[in-house]
Amino acid sequence: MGVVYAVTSGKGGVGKTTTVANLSTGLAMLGYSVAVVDGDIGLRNLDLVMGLENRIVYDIVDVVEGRATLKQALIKDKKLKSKLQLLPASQTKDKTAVSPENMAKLALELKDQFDFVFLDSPAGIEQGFRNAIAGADEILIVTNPELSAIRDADRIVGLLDSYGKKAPKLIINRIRTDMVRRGEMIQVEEIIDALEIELSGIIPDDEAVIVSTNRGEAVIREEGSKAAKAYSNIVRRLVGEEVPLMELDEKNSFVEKLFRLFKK
Amino acid sequence: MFNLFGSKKGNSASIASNRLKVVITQDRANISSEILEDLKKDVLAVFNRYLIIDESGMECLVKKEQERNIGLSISIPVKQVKKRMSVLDED
Repeated sequence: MGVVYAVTSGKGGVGKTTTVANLSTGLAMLGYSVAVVDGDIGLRNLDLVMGLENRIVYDIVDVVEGRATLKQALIKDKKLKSKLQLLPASQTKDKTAVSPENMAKLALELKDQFDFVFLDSPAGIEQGFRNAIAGADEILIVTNPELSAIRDADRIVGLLDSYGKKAPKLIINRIRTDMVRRGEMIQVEEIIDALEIELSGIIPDDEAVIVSTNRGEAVIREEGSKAAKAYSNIVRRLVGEEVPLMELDEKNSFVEKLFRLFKK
Repeated sequence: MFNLFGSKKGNSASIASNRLKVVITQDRANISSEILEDLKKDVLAVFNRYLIIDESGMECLVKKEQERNIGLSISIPVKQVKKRMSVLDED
């Protein structure tokens, strides 16, 4: 029996879908079987981020309404020896086409067959969000260092608490080390202090994410990139390894390198 | 770069941090100003029965406490304690 993770955020555009694509790819790379579900009905995107957009035949609504079996609808990612499979969202249906009960049942079926299941929640706190958390054993909240995103994350934490859900964990995306150093970006510790939840990991802002997404690949496969390292750390934590928080504050300017040389 | 016009650079993170704390506290408290006003009135009524107070000096503060809880702190300057007799008189 696998574990179902819902990935949610409140605010849109903070990197939920990218996070789902990377964590699921990372787990598949380690040999785990992983299913990902795009919960954003009407605005599907996970297929595009994963580079599987040309292979969709059936979608989640087809499965829920009985036009296709789960097996028929799941798209196998051949780059990962079918260890990773996607259940795409419907692009044409209304977001009420899937109920929380439908999603919970689906999640149960999936975790029977896969080691990990990821439910990619749409932005907002409406039905799509409630669907995603209905089926989840664990919840990951994605935010970035912007006030609006952090505030929305706190709303989600509060809502989950009121629904009696297990305490979520936080992923802070798109941290710009240079700005943090200059005092122009809120620090990880301050975000954690404000939200009072456990940190799952931090992801630096990295061009490599955009480049990989352009190609329909997850950046985690781009070994050597900072984002890949950061996502891998989270993946290792998901499978129970103790991994220290990534050192983002790499001194990378020439002057700083020189300075460090002298300090030695 | 040289702060020619006295613009404060290099501390927007601390401004963000403070604003975050305030807005999260308000969000979590979720007390409407209407309810807060009613609450103040009731509290004042009770205090007035026992104490001579400075109503204009009343302060109401919503604070963040441990584990996502919200604390409401009300401070009222007390001028004098009413005599026991006068309290009973009012009843």
